[in-house]
Amino acid sequence: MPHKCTRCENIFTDGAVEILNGCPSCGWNKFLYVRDESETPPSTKTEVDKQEPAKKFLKEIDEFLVDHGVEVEEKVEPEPDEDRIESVRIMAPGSYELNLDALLERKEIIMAMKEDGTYMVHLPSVFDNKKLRKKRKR
Amino acid sequence: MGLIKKVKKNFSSLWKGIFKKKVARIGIYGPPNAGKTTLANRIIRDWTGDAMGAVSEIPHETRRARRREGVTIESNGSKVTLDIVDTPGLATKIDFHDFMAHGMEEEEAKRRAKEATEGIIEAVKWLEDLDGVILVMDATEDPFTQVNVTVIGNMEARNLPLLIAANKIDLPESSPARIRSAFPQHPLVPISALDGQNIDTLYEEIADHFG
Repeated sequence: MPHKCTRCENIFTDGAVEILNGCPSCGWNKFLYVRDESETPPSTKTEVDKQEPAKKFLKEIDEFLVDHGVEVEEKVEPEPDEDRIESVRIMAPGSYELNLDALLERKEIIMAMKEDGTYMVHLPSVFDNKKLRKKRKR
Repeated sequence: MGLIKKVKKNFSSLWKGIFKKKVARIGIYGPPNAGKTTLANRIIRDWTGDAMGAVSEIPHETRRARRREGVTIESNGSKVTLDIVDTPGLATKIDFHDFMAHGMEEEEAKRRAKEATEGIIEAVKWLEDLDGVILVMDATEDPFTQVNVTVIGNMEARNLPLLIAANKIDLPESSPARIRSAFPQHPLVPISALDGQNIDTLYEEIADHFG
């Protein structure tokens, strides 16, 4: 911490010989501890201290949002979409979404690839259906 | 053509009237890990001494519908012969990553996912050949799921007699009352397929509803 001469207000660095020998400009030997304006470590420290709870808070919000986001996704995923015609949607190899409504209510099986609008119709299930209808008509 | 059709129809209803169908084909349905195979095993062990299939904590252990014919249940003086169909768990999403979380290799997990998907389609197609359904629900879980609501709605539309088995009452967190209040329109029996709690009441209900 720098020292200031109490008479002429000259500032000397911490541990300078002038403090021991006396002020070279006025010969005074009383000095006062002063804050170094260029350093200003205490002020920055307080800012950091102030920031920390904010950071914590933001982190908590982020965590909450992530948690919340996941929850929302989970809720959204299984919701039945009335426009969906496919019985099975292939998201990736080994990852499937089943539309129980379509499976239960339709005889034919329609597959969809991801969400890119590509569909595949399982022909045997469609033809079986037509056969049954014909039989019923008879 | 119309006359032949009429004669055919009358003859078949007469035939059915004389030889009444004595065997009821009952399907055991429900979400994965609700205890369908455990229940099927218990029913078949209690009345025939055999077992239906393997059970596991990993979902979708049953991936093909299994049928056991001629299981005769006697309860309160009434006798009913059933063909019991144990079905794969109904689910809306199957992801092999879930099986990998149970320590399965990727290849095996993907194969299981594929078989489970086929199994669900098979289970749904079986509904057309059934006379009644035992819907097994895990009483420790929330009953308001898409699977339960969809399946119950569809069975009501098909006029299929439905009996709800609120399973896992051996667990302290189970709440059959929650299921009862969710689906009050159907008979419900709280059971533990694992340790046999209240299973006799289920047999009575089966004899009453499907006999």
